[in-house]
Amino acid sequence: MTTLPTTLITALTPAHLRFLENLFPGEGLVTQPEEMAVYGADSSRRSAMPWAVVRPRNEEQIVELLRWAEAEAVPLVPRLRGTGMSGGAVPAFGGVVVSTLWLNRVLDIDGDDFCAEVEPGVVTSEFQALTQKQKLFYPPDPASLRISTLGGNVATCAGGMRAVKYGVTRDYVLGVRAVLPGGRIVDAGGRTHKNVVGLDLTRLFVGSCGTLGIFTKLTLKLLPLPESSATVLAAFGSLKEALEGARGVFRAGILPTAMEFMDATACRGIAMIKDVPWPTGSDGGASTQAVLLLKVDGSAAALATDLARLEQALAPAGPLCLLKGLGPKEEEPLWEIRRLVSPASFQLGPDKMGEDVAVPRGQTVQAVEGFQAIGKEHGIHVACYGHLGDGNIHVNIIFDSADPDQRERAQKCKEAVFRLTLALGGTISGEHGTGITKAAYVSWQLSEEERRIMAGIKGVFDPVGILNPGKGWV
Amino acid sequence: MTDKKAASVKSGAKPERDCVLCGCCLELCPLFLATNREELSPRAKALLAGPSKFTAADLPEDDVAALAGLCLACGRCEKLCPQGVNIPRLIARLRAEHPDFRQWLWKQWITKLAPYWSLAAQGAALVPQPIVPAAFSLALKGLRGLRPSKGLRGWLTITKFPKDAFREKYADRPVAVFNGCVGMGPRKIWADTARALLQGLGANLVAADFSCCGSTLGVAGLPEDQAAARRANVAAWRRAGRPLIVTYCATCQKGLAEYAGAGLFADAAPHFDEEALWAASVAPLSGLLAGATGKAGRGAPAIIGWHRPCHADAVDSDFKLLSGLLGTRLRSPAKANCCGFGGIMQLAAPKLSAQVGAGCWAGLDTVLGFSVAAQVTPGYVLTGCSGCVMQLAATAPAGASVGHWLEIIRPD
Repeated sequence: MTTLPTTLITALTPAHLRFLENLFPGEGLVTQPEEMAVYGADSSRRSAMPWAVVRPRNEEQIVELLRWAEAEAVPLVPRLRGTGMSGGAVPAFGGVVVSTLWLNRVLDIDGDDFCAEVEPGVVTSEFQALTQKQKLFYPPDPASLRISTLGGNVATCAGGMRAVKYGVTRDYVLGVRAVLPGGRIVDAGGRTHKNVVGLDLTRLFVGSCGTLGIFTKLTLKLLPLPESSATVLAAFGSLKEALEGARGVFRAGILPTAMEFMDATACRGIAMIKDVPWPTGSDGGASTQAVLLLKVDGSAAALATDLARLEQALAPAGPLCLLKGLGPKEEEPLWEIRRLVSPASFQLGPDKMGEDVAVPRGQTVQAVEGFQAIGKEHGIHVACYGHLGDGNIHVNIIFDSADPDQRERAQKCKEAVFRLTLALGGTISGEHGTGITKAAYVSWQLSEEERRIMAGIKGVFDPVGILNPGKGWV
Repeated sequence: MTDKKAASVKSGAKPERDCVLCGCCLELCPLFLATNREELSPRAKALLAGPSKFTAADLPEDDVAALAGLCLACGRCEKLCPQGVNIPRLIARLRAEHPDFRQWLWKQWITKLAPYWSLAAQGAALVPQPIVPAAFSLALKGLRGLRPSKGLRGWLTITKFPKDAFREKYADRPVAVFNGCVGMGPRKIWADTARALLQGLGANLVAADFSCCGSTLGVAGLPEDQAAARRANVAAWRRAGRPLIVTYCATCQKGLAEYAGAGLFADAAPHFDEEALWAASVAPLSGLLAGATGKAGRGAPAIIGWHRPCHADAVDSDFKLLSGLLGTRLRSPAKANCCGFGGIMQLAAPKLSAQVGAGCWAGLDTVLGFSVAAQVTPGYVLTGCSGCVMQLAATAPAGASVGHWLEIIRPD
């Protein structure tokens, strides 16, 4: 059970509201419930009403806000677009929501330093488009990249499909400027790609879910933009064959940009909303039980050879069909299918728990087979798909919450999935974070000693405990 | 419910389910993007008033309706929503359930004052000043932008009409032009040019006394007035011998297409699918002209901006025709920005409407560069929707010209 600092206030006083009115004039302060409601919800489909919402226009306002909030013990919940999957931005335990969407300038993109400086409210895909104009590349690509922000991505250490080759958000954050409770400013890291002076405070901020400070500037690492890319979609008659195919690719020495898979349940969901290119067995032939989707990138000259190598590496596993796309135009329809998995899962039931466990890469086969068995045992739809290449598997537990029996079985399913994951040496969250939806399970993974150390670190940044209380790992 | 389902199946739309708060709609909502205020986003509207199970609290309905009513009805969120939630329809329902002063104003504006728009556009007093509330200021500015002297001068001559293709498809079928509120009034030149172009195609033109298409009334939450306008148009169409209905305004085109599935043809003779005939009869003028060739004469600007209306048809007929005629002269921002008109929004929230308009001009500036050297390359923008022309005229930077693409066609 989440324990909160007892020293925090439980409601704003008229004097508090007057302070906020002065610091955030005009549209900077929101107190009407109908206007605040959306600021209390996120893509986890949890919601709670904020006490107030403030929208700073500059760092000075944030410094003043945090000085005041610490002195008055007012809980603050930092927020950007609210597209997180685990309730990290939901003020479930009360507090003032701080929306930094108005801090949304790209300050600098530098092709000599290979780095960029941005404010937290910049939308990820818009930033990527700007870097591409200069033939530069910011690889992290969470599925939400068109609607989520760099600040949100850093706060949650967002992953994505390209992680197998390029890593996750954490690997591209060189520096973080943040305002801490009390109004202190920390400038962690900087523009250098290497830096070993002192402890790595930058990394502490990445994935901290707004519990350590409020970001005002991020320094990000860039790469040269690959010239082109190519994609292969392969359908298999069994999960085992698909995973065998994936192993074949790595054994052949190929490091794909992305390696995604979809299991039979996920494929069935997509087929309900879209014509699919793989055999469904409707003609009496073999039916697809798993699909692999691979992307490679590099120079245009090398890609044709890479595609041939990929095809060769997949062949021993006996794919039922194999589709290829060279260049974004041909690739797009193949990736469109992958992006539909999550919304398509609602075809199988009105509610879902979207888990994002990760296991050591060698344990993927065991994990997916185990999750499917758990679904069968509990009589619940379990769709597995996601980032096979890096062992990060999205497990969608699909049910109808109107049926109390199903609700209970789904809950048991989720806990069984977590137990199996941990038994295989994995983690209960690879990229969504623990927020409120997984907070209760953090102690299954982290020992008391580890949590004590983390609480101690949190105390150094935020002694009164005002920042996003009750979230993450405390 | 049955009606709604039938309509969504007909238009090929996704069936509507609950909002799951995924936020996909945030990508293109012009109101949210211009303000970065989440309470104006489609997700906020669905959370408060829509088919969502996650409503945060029991809130006063009138307050909810007033906030949720701040919507431009551009329809972009609907296209992005994996759940098929239709926010403009939700808002129209809300506005209908919570009538207020602004709706009354809009009704006056469209149904009572439209005949006076030409006068207003010419700078004459619209109606006695005390009756014109301050809220009309942005809308009036748009009208002033429609003065005949503000219209663009024609410089493009059509050198070849796709007569054969037209003849093959429509032969001698009667053809009527649907003029809409602006073409009927302040910019009659649109109607004249449209007729001239259809003559060029060899069309068998007939007259039909159509009125307002009704879509802007429906969006404003005035379903009865919308239904009256729709019924009048169906009757006019029947009287004219059920001709092909040719439109040159994207919003009219969309509005008329939506008559199918709205229960307007229940009184048709048995075994006569009049509704299907209507649906097949509504056609954009630009689509009929596809393949035409033209020659730019004196006065043709070097660079021309294209503003894509939110209600542009699926194949983007206007842009296709124009880019065929104008080639690389025509530039369109990669990210199509909404002009911020939103019908009732111009009255209900002129400040927000103008804020979205400013974002739209900033987008056009990225391809036209008029802010850098307004003297050398003044902004010159074409579009294909009456509402967009009015709004762009109301929000245009100094020196910029705005018009319907019909205005650049030189009459022979």
